[in-house]
Amino acid sequence: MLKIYLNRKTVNIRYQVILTILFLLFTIAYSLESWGLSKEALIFPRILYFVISVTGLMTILESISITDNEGVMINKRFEFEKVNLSFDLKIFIIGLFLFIALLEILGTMISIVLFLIFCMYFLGVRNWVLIISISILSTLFIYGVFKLWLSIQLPSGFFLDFL
Amino acid sequence: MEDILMYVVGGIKDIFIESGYIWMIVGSMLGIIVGAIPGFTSSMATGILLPVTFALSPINSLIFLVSVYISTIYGGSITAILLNTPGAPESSATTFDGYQMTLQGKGFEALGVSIMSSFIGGMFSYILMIFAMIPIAWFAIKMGSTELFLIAILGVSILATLSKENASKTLLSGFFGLLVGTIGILPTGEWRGTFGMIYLSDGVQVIPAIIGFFALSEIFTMIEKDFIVDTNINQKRDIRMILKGFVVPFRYPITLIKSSIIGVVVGAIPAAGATIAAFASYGEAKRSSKNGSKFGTGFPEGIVAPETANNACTGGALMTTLALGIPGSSTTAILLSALMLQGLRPGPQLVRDQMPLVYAIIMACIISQLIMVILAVLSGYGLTNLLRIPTKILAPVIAVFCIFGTFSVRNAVFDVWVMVIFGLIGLLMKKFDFSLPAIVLGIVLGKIADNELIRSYMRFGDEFYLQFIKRPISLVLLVIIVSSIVYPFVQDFIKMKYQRK
Repeated sequence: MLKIYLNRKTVNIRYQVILTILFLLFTIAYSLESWGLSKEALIFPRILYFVISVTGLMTILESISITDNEGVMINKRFEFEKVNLSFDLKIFIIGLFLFIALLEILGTMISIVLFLIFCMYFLGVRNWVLIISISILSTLFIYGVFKLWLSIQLPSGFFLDFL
Repeated sequence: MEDILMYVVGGIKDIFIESGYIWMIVGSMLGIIVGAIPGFTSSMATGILLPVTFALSPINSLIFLVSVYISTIYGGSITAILLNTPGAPESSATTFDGYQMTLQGKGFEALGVSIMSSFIGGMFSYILMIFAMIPIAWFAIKMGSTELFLIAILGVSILATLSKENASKTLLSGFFGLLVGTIGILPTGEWRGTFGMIYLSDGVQVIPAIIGFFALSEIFTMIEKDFIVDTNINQKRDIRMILKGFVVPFRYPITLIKSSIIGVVVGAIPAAGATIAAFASYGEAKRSSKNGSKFGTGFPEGIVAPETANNACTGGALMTTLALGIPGSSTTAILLSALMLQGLRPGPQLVRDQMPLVYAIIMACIISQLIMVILAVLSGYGLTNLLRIPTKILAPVIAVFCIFGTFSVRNAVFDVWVMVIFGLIGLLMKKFDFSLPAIVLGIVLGKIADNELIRSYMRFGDEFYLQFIKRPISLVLLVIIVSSIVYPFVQDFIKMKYQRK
């Protein structure tokens, strides 16, 4: 929660307002991008712009509350309540981004193995036999299901062409 | 009557000609396993497994997904009963009495009650489907573009009534989802909302949205725990106890019938879902039962009611999905995508031109229920061991499967990025109590609603909006939509005024 301290009141803004603002910003971007299109193209979006604006505003208002300071003197103007994002989650998200970014460079097999080793190790798994065997088995499973059974062309990467 | 018999026989024949029974067994097994894992919903299971169906024929792909759908709902009750942790939201009400029975040493008997109740609820709804599909089809054909547009909007707006405390957030999620669903190239050739990206010319793909919002966001939540369920409770395994539980539901015939009806009706309401059916049924059974005070203490009727309703819901949801093209739940939204991927258009056209396929799906549901009972008895044994796998191993492995499942839609890494972005938004939405089903339903229904409205405009010109009032079905739908949007806020206002007095 974000707290804004005024003389006698405190304005409390819940962080859900961030998501609401993101939705509203996207809606504005969409409307600018679609500017100038034909009438048929904009009938439904225009209805949606209106209802999204109304519900967005309502959500923002619901996120804001004002409380009394009850005579207590507060020296600061703003206070941000910390958002706790666990180390495990941060590592996992970083790993995910790296995996997808390197997928077409390194290829499917290498990327999966590296991703699983990275995640399992940094998330706390220390049994290397388990890490390596799960990585290899999962890779083979993915290859078997998607490449062999579904005949889907998986990224082979710059280094390995035999996939 | 003769037509119905002909379609039923044809449906059974189609299943066996195409070896659909193999996919029923595989789907039921996977559905029970996935359903038993807390956090893994039926929509997540069908979403992740949807790409697997690309290689299958239309009938086998639908049989497989429907079997997964039906079994996941039962699967959720295993952990609900044995570990007090519902494997799926639909099984939340089952914990009230199911877990109490476990504490009394009757956990496996409770599983038996759950299996038979699920079976009866499901069979009731599918037998109803056999007779109801033709009249529904007749009614559905009378619907024009204005009615279909309004039904799509109804699917999103009705969620607001069902989540009164977060009505504005639910509506915002739903309408935003509708906007995202309108991205793409129009029939007029114009590019709308694509921001110049060629991959968005075909719109935002439903599978990345479903896997991102439902599966990946849940994986992000799972990472923060060591195990999926933290518990050391052990239960004595005995198949005779499960079989003993099979006869218990028949002691409560009125609860069985009422819960089945509640399930079918709630399932038929767009977007309502099995969770609501289960709670509504539990509440009604507790209210009307002679032993209402015993509910919550390990009373078997407290398991019969929700488990019958949540499985009966599947038939109701399938009816609206197949006949109207509007999903009755998040999972049937995925089934709708599966139909479209196979080149079929759910709705009045499907029931008019592809009735044999529709009846093959209904017969597959009935046979799947029978297979589910057999597999459910066996799965009660080993499934709880799955929950002992640390999340540090399970989460990355499932994430890899999600990534390639998404990639396989169009062989595009772009879709994977979309899935991850939706996954992160889904995580934020969970933390701030926004509705995930609303946004996903919006994305699925956005294109449908947009196409129908454009069609309406092309037919009636600038005064197309008058058709919403002139046409009786449209007028009724409009009134329901406006009421469902306004009702939660009016209720709040009245409550506030009453409290001030």
